[in-house]
Amino acid sequence: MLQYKLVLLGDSSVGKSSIVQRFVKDSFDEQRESTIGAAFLSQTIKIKSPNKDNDQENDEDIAIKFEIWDTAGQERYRSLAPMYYRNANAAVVVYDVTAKDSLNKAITWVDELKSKVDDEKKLVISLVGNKIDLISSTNDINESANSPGRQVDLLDAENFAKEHNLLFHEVSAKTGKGVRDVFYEIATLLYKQKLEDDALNKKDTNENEDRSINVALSRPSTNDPTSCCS
Amino acid sequence: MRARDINTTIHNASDNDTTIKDPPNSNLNVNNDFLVSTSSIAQPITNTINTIYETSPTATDDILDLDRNNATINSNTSILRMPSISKNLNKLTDDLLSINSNVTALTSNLQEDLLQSIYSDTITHNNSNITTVNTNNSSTSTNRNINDAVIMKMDDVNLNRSDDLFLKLPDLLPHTVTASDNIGNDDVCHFKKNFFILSSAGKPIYSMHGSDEQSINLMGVIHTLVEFFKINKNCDLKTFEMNSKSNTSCKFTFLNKHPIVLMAHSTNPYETELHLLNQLDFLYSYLLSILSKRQLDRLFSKRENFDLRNFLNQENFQNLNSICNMICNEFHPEFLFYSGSLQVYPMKKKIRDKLHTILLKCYVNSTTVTSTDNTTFTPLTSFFYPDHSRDLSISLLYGMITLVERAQLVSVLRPKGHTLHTTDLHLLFQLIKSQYLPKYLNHNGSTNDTGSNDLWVPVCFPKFNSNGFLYCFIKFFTNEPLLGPGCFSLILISAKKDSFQRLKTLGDQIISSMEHLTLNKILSKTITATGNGINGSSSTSQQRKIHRSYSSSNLLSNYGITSNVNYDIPTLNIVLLPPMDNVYHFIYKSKNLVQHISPPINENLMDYYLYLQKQCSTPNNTSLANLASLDTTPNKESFNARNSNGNMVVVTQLDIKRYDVDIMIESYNDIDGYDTTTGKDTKPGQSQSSLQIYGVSWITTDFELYLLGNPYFLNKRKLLQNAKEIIYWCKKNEPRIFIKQGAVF
Repeated sequence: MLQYKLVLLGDSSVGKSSIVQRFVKDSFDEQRESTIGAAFLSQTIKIKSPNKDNDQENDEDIAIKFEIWDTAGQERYRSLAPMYYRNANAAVVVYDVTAKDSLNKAITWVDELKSKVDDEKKLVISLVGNKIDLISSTNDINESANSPGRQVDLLDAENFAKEHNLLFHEVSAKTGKGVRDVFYEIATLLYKQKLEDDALNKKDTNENEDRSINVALSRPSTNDPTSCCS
Repeated sequence: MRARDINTTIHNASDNDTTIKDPPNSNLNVNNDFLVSTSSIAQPITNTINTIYETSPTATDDILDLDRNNATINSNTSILRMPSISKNLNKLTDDLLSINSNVTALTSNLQEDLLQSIYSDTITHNNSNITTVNTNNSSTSTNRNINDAVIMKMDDVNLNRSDDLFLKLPDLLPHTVTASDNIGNDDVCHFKKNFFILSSAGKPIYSMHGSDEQSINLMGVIHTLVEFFKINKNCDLKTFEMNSKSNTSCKFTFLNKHPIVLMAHSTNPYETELHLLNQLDFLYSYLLSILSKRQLDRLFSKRENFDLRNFLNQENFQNLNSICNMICNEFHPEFLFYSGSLQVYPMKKKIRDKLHTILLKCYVNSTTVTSTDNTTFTPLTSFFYPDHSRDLSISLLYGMITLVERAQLVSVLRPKGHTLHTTDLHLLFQLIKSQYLPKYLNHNGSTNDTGSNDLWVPVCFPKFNSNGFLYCFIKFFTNEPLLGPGCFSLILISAKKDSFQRLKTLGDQIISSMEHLTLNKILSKTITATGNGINGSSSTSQQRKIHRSYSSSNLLSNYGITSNVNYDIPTLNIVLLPPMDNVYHFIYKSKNLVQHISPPINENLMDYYLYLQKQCSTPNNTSLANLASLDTTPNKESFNARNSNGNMVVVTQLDIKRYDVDIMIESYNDIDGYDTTTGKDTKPGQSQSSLQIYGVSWITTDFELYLLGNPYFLNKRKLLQNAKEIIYWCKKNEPRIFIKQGAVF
């Protein structure tokens, strides 16, 4: 089984926890408390092997375990974020399609990820617009009075995603639409990366075990002296 | 809406006054109008000035220690906060001094403003009354108390006129105070108790009850009062209290923690200033726990008028609501004790010892195993091992297992010589209970594996270090065979924010070893073998005893009171209750361990215990509102014990008090438990009866016992005997009902 670390980032109340809940538990809470700190969940999914390589063992489904950090969106937990996205394999940056500001916030998250994460090319980032259930009901006049409707243009977000080489989805955690795809796409991509890596490693005569350890150990320590006993 | 009405009525009133009295200085009149229109904070000031006009002739008699120049200088500094009107206020202060009014008059009138704003409804009909205040008396009393530095009392004389005001007060009704009540009912004076939080600049942050418009007015007054004392005497205003002849007492307690000011308003006559300060401190500690002192200071250092409400989110306010609700409406014995107290989940010593062993073993394992294991980690699992775990030993600060619903401690893992303050622990329990428990329970039915949800939460523990955050790994679990039913949580606290993975490994280990233990048949045998009661009596007979003792308490229900006496006996018969033949309820606190035990009960007995506590500390005070007639010959004993050296060491205080509660035969369907305040209600169609209860308070240097006898059980001797039995039982079962050491590393 392959394990990947995934982190959810984004402005507060865009629906990060709801997306995770939909993905992990396939349920939705109308009322949700905002996350304090972060919650750690894991979910295993199975993907079909692309199997274009000659990898003999992968005729079956491949189990991929996501270790998910669901972070708090509030500004005051901002300082904790690096700890979660450091060493992450994938990041899901969420915005709210009914809140214009949340996309700007998402863009700053993407920029931060691109600048701070060592292995920028390896980090899979997916930009996700949540709450599309709120705009699909705008045909209903009564509903539209309550809900603000779409505030973030699909094309704007899509273009941004293309520009920065991000995956892009619009989803609804409430109805579940699109949520599964986000994670399956990430899983597929990560697996593809792994196959490429393996191929590279095989060319290298060096034992790949060692190499991976060195990578882990040489990571710079970001221990900042914020411990309370300082 | 209502607040605006008040403004206009007061404005009108002031207009009337000035025209009637024909003020000597026309300058002031102009200022008046200006101020009324400027801000809500200025409004009470104008009001005060008006009243000073009325009272200034009599006020000249008063003696004032404050030197006048000092007062002017200080007023100037206070006024700097409101630059736009500072000029006018300068004139005002000059005027104030020139008409030889004094500062005491100002304070007493400010107090009236507070009253006015709170009881504005009645005030509007009683304008004439307000003007006939006898400042002479009130200010002498105020004077005296200013010299005492903190405590002010508004005495009966001052409230001659307020008797008829108070008669109209609705707080005689058994109004259950809940946070949601203020929807649609925006009148602050309807509430028995209220909490206000504001910034030192006077900006509202939180009020338990009342609409925004109302609370802004009140906070203006609170701000002025606090600042006044700060400026003039350089001291903090703590409490002022009003007692009226109609037995309605009202207490306003302040806690000034720059940049935050908190105030509690309580009509409960049994609550002391210390109780209220304790509660305010808890609220303040909650704010710190989410912000930390350092961040709070930083926010306000940039701009003093920073609006903290924007910084807090909805959950924070919900949590504040639930904390207030917990303090006001629920039965939490820990708020009885000034020094704080914890409740421990009762369980067999053997099982608790086992838990401690597990905690310690896993902890030791994790310190050794991870350091050697480090090399075998793949990069994917070693996210949180950027370095070698050489300093793992200090990464865990404190660990514990708690029963979430009842906020009871099950087991503790702590370093030698370190304990966490009870306030900090209660904050953590409260956070977990309000934030995560509902979520956990929601999903518990529907999903397969909620245990996979691990939380990593930064919390500031204000009593540990108010400037920094600690990080809590929280994992919920159930383990019915070993611990009994209920949702338990494992909490591991670390000072390092990146130690999640280590703590998770440790946590998973602990939980799985506990599950493993459960499967161990030998242990389950020991449980059944030793589960047969205490003192040799079988568990069933014990239970029968308990039931018998509660049949008598059903008397209460005869009076239309829903007394849901519901003693949950802990599962597995782990620990049974002590013999409680004639005892309705008790609280036993071990002073050394800072832990208490009280049988769980679905009834708020707080007032009874508060009454008992207050009576025993001040035996001569008989001016009580609701628990009317006190036994005329209280059985008060004090005896001393000698230790082996023959020195006097233990001073034991033993009190027996009789409650004589008038209760109404009437069905309050919407009220849980019963409220002693019903005693004052004499609506037609209700018949009155008297309920008599004995209460025992037994305080030594070692323990505190508060005990309520069964209603109508009036045999003091037997009740004392029962009290002794309970103490004996508690001492004997100390390892079961308390945690003495915990797992210490």
